Amino acid sequence: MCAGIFEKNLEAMEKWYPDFAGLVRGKEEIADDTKVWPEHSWDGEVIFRIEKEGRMLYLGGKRRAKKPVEMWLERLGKLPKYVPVFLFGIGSGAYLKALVDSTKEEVNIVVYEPSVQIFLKALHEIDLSKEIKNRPIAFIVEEINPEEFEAVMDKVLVFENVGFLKEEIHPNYKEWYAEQLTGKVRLLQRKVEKIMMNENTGKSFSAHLASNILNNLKYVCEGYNLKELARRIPTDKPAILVSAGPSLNKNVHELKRAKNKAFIVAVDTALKPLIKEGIRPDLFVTIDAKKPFQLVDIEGAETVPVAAPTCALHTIIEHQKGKKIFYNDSYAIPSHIYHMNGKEFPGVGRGGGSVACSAFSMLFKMGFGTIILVGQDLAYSDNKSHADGTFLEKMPEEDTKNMIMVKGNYVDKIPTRRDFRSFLEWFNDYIKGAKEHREFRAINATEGGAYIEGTELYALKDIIDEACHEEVDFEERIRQMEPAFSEEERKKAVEYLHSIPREYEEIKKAAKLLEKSYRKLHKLSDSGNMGQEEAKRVLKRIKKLTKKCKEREAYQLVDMTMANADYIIRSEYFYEGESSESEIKEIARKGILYNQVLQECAELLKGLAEKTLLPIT
Amino acid sequence: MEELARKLSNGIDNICGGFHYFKKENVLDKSRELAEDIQRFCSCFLQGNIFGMEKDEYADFEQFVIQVLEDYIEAMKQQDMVYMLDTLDYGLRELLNIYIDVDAEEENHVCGDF
Repeated sequence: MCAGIFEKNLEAMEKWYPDFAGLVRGKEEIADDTKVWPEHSWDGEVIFRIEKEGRMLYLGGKRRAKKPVEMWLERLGKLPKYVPVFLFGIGSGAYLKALVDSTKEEVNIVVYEPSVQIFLKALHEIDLSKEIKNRPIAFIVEEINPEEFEAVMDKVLVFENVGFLKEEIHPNYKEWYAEQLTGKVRLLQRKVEKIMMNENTGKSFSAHLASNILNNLKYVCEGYNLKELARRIPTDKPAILVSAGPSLNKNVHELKRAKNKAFIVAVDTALKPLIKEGIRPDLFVTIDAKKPFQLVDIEGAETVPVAAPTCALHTIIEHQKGKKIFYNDSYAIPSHIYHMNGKEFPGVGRGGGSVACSAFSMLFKMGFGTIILVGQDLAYSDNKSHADGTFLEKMPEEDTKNMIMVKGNYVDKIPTRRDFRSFLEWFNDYIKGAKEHREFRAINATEGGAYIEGTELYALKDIIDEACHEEVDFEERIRQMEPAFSEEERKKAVEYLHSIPREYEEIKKAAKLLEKSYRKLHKLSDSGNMGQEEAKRVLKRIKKLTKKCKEREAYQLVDMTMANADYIIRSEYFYEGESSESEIKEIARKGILYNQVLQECAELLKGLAEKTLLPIT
Repeated sequence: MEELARKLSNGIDNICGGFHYFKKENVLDKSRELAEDIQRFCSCFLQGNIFGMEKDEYADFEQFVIQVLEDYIEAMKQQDMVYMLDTLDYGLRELLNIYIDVDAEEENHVCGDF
């Protein structure tokens, strides 16, 4: 063992991660059940042979160690900038060295090592200092910092590079570390799924979001929000969250007994089955920008108060005669209405993607100590996705044999699909965090479905008997809610909304100037004689104009509406041209296109803003 | 022998190429299927100095052949994929190439059979 090499490696590491280097020093004596024997291959490389319970495995070729690594690089191909590469297993460092040597500094490398012995041996035997100094390689070692894997993954993986992700497992590691590797690879896959799901949702909703927000703004000005709701509703009583899972049909009738004894909140899709059963919830939650209106189209539903983010489907919001209670979903214009009046516009915190996740989060933030879940299957109970009477009077049974299986509430395994599983994981995490935060009971009274960690399983009848006693007129409490704004403040907000069409006009003008600048840049790069100074000057102007454009609150809606155009530009960002001149030409080409779309969008939103906002009095 | 060498060479190409370029990890199972042919092929070299080499040279050669066989057996015993790939690609292949005109093969390959 060579102390010199070890120190040299750690010193290099200190440049990027001094804490990690310190941790490694502290673990120098730690051992696991893997023994590592360094050898020299016939072609002069240091290779490792590892031993565990009498079995020995090579981590590099005994005769030729270099050639397989070269072939590996050949398979990986040329990696563009910012590509995330996850190396599972460091071995004797040969693959890591080759990767660093053959890629640009911007390629993000994450090394996960399940054996601390192999990791320490590599640091002692192999001089990796040049590679470690080259770029901030993230090292995650099972015995040292395993908890950092997810944080690193979150930092490195974004929508723009997810399509280029490389996951490479060191040869022979699966033999002994399959469980650890599978765990980490699974985390990566889930992250990829989440990124793609969010992006696809964003893309599919983007066209509707702007229209919903602009149409809902007149109601936002009325000033009913979650803070006031939480002030009016007594949260020492239980809340019942009714979702539209297939098990809802089994116990929906029981809810009649809970009326005025628990705060009954329904997700939008559960509204119809409830009303049909003669149960009027105290509130319903809707969040989707695009949802079939028919889901709530039943006589009697229109008087139920609604809680929603400002981007929720405006036709549903308009249809409701009851109170419209909004929560902050981080859109600039509605937020500004509150901020300009020095008022807080509370949100529901971390949503999980489904209406039920947002409603659950909302109830917890309101302060409820007990939340009872009903119809929260998150799985295909009886092979159905939703309760009868929601999307269809009779929901069809589906073929679930190839679906993912998860632990059930009342069966060992139950089929589910990816989005449901993602919501399930959200509930698991959220309830864990909620219980750490304060005393809190999550009761699952769903008569079927997937098991949610941290919940107590109850029959709905039993929990109503146990927890729902005192009468409270929740409907009356909501009727008594007061708006956040005085008449003067509301008028100020309306005045601001009337200025929005002008904002879009300004954005359009700026986009026109930007297009002109990009055309100049294109011409410069096309001339084959591009002066760096001239190009820099144009780029500086572009940067300034873009900043000016993006600073406007109204810009956010344009940006969202252009999600599809944005997607094209962002996902192509990682392809590189051969020279800086051709790169600039490509930037200019995209800049021209982008700003043409920007002008069209700004014009479109200006018209929509005039139609929706100017009539507000 | 040439035919056997070619058959083994194809087998090694599939195993090693499959692993390096297509991440196919059924290396040990596929290698086991070659066991009989490898034994037949190597035993020819061990039956005597068939190429009429110098004594020392033959001793080295014999040692090389034995080493390949030992490595094959050890890789199989340890169920070590890396060891097996190395033995096949850079050990056994050296012996196969005695019977295969590698340059001509590569030439043919460039012409393309596809």
